[in-house]
Amino acid sequence: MSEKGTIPFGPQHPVLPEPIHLKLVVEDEKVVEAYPAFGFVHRGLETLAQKKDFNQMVYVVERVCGICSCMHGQDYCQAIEELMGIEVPIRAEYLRTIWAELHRIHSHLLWLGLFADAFGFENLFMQTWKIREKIMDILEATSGNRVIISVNIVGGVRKDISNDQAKWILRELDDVEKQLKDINDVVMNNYTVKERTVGIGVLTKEEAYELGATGPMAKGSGVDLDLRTTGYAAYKYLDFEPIVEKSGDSYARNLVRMKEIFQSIDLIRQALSKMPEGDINVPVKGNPPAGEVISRLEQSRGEVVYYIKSNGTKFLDRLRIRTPTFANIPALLKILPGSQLQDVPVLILTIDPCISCTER
Amino acid sequence: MIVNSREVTVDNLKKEVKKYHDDGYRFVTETCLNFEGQFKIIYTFAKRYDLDNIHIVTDGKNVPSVSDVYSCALLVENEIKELFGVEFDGLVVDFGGKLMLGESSPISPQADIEIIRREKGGKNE
Repeated sequence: MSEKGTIPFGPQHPVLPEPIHLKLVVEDEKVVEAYPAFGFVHRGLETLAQKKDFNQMVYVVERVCGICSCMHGQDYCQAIEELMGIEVPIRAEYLRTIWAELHRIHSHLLWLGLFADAFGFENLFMQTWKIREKIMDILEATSGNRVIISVNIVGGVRKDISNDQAKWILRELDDVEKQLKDINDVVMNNYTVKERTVGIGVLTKEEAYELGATGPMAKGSGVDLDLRTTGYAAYKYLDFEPIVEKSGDSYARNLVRMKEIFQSIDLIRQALSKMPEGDINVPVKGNPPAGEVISRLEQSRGEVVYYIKSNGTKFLDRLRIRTPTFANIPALLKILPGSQLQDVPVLILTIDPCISCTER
Repeated sequence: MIVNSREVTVDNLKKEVKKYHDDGYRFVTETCLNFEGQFKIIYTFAKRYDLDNIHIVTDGKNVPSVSDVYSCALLVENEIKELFGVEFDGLVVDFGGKLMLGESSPISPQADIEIIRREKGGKNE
């Protein structure tokens, strides 16, 4: 006869790069209920909007999360620019797109390494992080920093990419693509990877939509939503289609992320070839007028939503950030019950959780 | 997009939210603002890429939870409850103040915050 018990998972756990606690109710080895608890790294960054002026806040929001920091800054700047009626130069739109896609690549590679490590595939972990270093080198060479690159400012960007740098980036991306093709077969066709992911943690298309899932979590279940297709920044000038898989299991979510890496390389190539000469920012005068605005963009983990309420001074009344991981936790809580205890680490990593984002 | 949210009464909130649900909108988030002892809660929904917003203004007591309509709203409503002290009626899972906060955390840390700015040369900045 099976017995019910409760197992605490986290906040400190070998597969968790950041602290999250899950209370797992299990019957023998089967999870029947899961309850989350966060707050271990809550920093109250939204509240800082009332203390730092709107230009300083660009650097604060970049610190919401190290992995998609550039896109946090970009979304915040887009919101302020919409409030102030600022039109960003086209070259700045391209530059924002290039840095955002570089962040998507390094985020997905970081996730793939952690995911491989979660089920003991240490060699894959080392290979993916080795490839990721090339992307970090590009970020460092073009911005001066590896992780929090602080290129976005209200009105555009503060750094440019020279023609020589563009040529070097293209050569580096060729190398990254070649190495990724080598490991792609290992990632997607390996017996162990398939055993641990195919048919595990299935989320149907209807469930994904109903639970508000976003990013690869939703795309892996057949939901064809990708905010980049709305044409913000330079995406309106680039050719691409959202990457969608239908099976809704952990394997499908992996496949979406792997394909998105190749797609990002293609987008950067397109952007570098089409980027016009010109200014990279426009001067910003005065404070944002009183008003409310919502700005969204597609981060590596999905849709991030910035709500800003300004009062006409240099301080904002309210900044609220709905991050993709926060939106994907209900889906995680849906797929955990019914799974085996051994699959819990893989299922948690399959949503690519960013706890810093979730807690802000 | 510039937010032009429509105000609904607390009594009509559930009916309005149910309408969005039945019209195929997905739930995006709830945003809580606290001003002059009142709370404004903005509900954001999306159909494909189009957003729509409604809001209520409340004293923060007995706010009907929409988590029985959109189950994913339970997390953000628990967060608002803990960070702002808004009391929701009918939360499908109530974490009892332990989702974001610990035993020794400040109570409702984002509600009615007293802003103390740095002083420069003896004057408030």
